[in-house]
Amino acid sequence: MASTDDKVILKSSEGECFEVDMAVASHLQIVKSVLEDCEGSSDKVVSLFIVEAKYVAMIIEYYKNYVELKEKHEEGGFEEKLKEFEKQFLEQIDKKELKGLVMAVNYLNAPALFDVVCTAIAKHIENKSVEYVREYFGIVNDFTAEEEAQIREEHRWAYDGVNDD
Amino acid sequence: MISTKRPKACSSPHQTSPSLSVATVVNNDDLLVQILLHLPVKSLLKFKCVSKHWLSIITNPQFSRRHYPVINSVCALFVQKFSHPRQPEFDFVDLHSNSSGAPFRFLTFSKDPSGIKITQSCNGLLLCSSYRANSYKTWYYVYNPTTKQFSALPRLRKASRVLGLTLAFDPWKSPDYKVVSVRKCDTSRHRCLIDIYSSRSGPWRVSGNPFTAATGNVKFNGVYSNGAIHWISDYGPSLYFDVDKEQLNQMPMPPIPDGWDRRRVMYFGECRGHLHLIENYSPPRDTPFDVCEMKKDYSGWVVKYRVDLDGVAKSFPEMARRYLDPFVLNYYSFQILSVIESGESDDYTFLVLHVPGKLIRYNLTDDSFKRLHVIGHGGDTDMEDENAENFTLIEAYKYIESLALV
Repeated sequence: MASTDDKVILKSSEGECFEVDMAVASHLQIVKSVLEDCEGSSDKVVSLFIVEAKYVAMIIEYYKNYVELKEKHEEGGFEEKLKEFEKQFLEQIDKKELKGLVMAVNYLNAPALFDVVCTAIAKHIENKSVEYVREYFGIVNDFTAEEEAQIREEHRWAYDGVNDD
Repeated sequence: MISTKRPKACSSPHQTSPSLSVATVVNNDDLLVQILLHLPVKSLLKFKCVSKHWLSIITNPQFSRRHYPVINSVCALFVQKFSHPRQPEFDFVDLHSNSSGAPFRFLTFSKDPSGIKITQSCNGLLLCSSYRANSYKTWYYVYNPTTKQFSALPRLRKASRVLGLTLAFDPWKSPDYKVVSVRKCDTSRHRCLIDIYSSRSGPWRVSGNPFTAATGNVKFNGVYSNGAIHWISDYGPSLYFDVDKEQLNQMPMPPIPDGWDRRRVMYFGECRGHLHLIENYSPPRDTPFDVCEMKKDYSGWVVKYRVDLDGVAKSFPEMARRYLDPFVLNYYSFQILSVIESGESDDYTFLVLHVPGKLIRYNLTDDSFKRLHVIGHGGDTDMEDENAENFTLIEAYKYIESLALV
């Protein structure tokens, strides 16, 4: 029964279940600690109460590739191959979904992917306008017009070269 | 994806928020900080006005300490001109785009009655000093041109004997900086003493014992690179000083060619942890010349590039003198302002040349060149008319965006 031993089932907030290799799931610190807490129990189902299925799928896809690439390129070249994959992986993700994904990854405590998604969000907003960033994150501007003008005046040059939203 | 019939699941002990759709990225400070740490300085300054919360995160000292500048991010040059009678005037030369306006035309962060000049740029911070003041009235400042914060250094003892100051700042090693001053000893003409100021532990203190140096020939406004300050001499031995160990060593230098009694150094500087030296012994045209780089183990210099400026002189004929001044020795009027290694690819290195009225970017890897900047002529200056005969030297200091505290 070795095959069920190294599998675990991750359950999304909608109740959708994903069967995943332990080697993949163990990259999610939260899953690891839940399983440790439940040691001895025959149940291998971990509820990820607040993570939507689409994000669970993305995270599994990332770590599946991560584990495969690591095995395949044990001798070297792993970092480069991973970078290539990360690029493709991020291309499929909508900019709005990045926000949901980073929350999910942060909750599941998965360091490698966390860094990738944080970098992707930073790259996305780097050359955007202040107005775009407020809208993107749903932030309400709490400066008065005078206060904002004063801050802008301090670093006027930093506002050059803003890309179209 | 599979379906399962097991209804019971282990519950997570880490339930913190009820739903991710209600919580947002910006309500989670740790998460927001992680994202902001990945942004370049320019974006961070821009996003200070997103909200009060963002402003407080970005200006928090803890955040500055965690935010490293990108290692190869020389984004512009401050070109210092001395044509204004009361204070130096600056041109801002953006190396990547032409869009940015200058952060300043004069340095006025402190109300120094004698004006303020830059004497060194070091990994994002500038060492500045009073411009026209006698040694007793000279102030020294460490200035962050990105955040516009500055700190005035405590007064030096025996200010009149000071030969030069060098800033040592390496944000990848420590958020603190040191300033190293060299002064003449009271007792002997050729004996020098080092004083060190540390931003962490405060006041000036003497380091080590006096040492002998040909004080007139060593440039004690040094170059900081890889944990050491380098002082070159055009005549006697050149030195480098390990700032952490407080240890003085002799730096090997290329031999002075036969027929010359002293070095003709056109450029001595650093970029991305590499020390660069350009000497010139090719009168009257001053070309070709070699760009040398110090080996990592300090065993000597290697020639990295050979530069011939005849092509530049053809495109910019204004740099050729109409007659050869026997005292000046050179036929071309030009100046090497900076050697810059650019981050995009490893072997993308260029010179910034000053020829009459203009700056030129000269790529060392393929010998191509283009005009980078026309030197501005503000109120009292008249650089437009600069020609090969009235060529005036200027200085250039690298601008690296940084949130470093001063």
